[in-house]
Amino acid sequence: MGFDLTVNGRAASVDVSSDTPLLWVIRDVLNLKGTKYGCGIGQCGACTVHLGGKAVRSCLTPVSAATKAPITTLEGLSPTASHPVQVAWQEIDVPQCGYCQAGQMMSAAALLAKTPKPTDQDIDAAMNGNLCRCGTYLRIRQAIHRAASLALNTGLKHPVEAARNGSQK
Amino acid sequence: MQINRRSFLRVTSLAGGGMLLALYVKPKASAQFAAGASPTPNNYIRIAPDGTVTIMAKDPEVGQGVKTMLPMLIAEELDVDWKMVKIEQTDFDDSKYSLQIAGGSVATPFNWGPMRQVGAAGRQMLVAAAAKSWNVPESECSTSSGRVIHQGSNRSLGYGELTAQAAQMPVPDPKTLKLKDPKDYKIIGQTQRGCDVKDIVAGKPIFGIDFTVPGMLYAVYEKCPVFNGKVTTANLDEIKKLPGVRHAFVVDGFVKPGTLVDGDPGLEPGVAIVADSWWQAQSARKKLQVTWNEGQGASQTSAGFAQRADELSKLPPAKTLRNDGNVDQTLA
Repeated sequence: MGFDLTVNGRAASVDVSSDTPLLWVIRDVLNLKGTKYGCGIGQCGACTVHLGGKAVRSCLTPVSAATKAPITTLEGLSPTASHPVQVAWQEIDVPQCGYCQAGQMMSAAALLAKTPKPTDQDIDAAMNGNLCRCGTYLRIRQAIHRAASLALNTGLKHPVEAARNGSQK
Repeated sequence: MQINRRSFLRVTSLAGGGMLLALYVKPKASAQFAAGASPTPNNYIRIAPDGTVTIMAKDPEVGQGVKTMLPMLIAEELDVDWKMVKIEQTDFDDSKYSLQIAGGSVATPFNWGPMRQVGAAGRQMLVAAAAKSWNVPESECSTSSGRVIHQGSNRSLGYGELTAQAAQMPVPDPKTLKLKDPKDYKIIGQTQRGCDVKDIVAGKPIFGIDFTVPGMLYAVYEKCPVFNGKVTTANLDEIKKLPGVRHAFVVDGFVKPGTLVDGDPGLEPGVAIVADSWWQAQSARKKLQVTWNEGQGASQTSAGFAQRADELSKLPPAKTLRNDGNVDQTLA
């Protein structure tokens, strides 16, 4: 079946079965490999992307449910890794193996778009569903605070908007 | 080009004037030379004429930072600035790069000596090349930030300018190399950012799962829920008719002898489904119906294991690994 999607500000038509999870459309049809397959059952958060600005688990989101709102993947935050979350993640040297970090950053970006100055409690609540086997949680929390202050200084746009406008912020 | 076939270190000129330094750590590799086999160098340092230093990291990076750490050891003794270094992951080939494993926290102790020697050997050859071109004793030359310096005449040359000559210098015996005094370390002991962090935060395809080849198919594998169980029947004909499925077949499995863990099953028996996409293979798997011969494992339970452990714990020791002093008396 054909589905019309908007991914990182660009229109994409894909031909897959309607139950195909958005994750596999993103990774294997659109060849955007930043989004990761972790558990496939919505328990780990590695596959997190934005659908209409909200963090969703793409492994459980059928493509048929993803046609009505714009989709943003890690590559769409900023192709040059200059979104405040990506900058902070580099500054704080968050990743170890890095496999879960796309999902971590997408959850963090969605949090900051809604809550520009999150508390530790806000962060813990929003990031609760993203697991990291290397145990980088403390640096993730630190990096979200850092991203928040970078965004306030530079004027963070909502990631979807930023991607649509091709903004480097 | 001079290659000293007996030494563990080996240098090669590169097209365009660069140099490449390799180290053999494995006795097996030396035996291969003796037998006249063509040596395949395990390259560790590549210096281009423009001064770019590429250092190879041989161990698997799984979040422990080894891909950053191993090149740090080389860069320190080579005496280059960390920001001048590019890091490349080597291929997996145990015959070239001894012991390419992650586990046991052994990467630093095992590589601490050899990797620093590689760096020091590279530095030594660059110093020798500079001393020769200036016609001064090597002992009057020093290095800093990727340059050889002759203070007496206020001259210096970048490593990139020296590679062509350095590749002609005799390879030093690792035993004669003078390593830095730890108080002079500029890279070792300092926190260095993970070398892949930028690619990770940009979502670059650097993981195994991101790798594709033209015409690649995707497989899923259903194993028996009981250890050592075997397939009796499977509805393969039905599975093969599902969308995107190219192959579906029973795998007998094999037991791999001599593996790390006793009884490591190798590949356990099961059913493989191969499809055009992973999702198609996975969807087909949900329709898979297998009857298993669960074998001896079927009667085992966690409660049974606990009971057996309890029984064994009450028997006299089966094997004494060490027996120092008198434990009962000391703890009494």
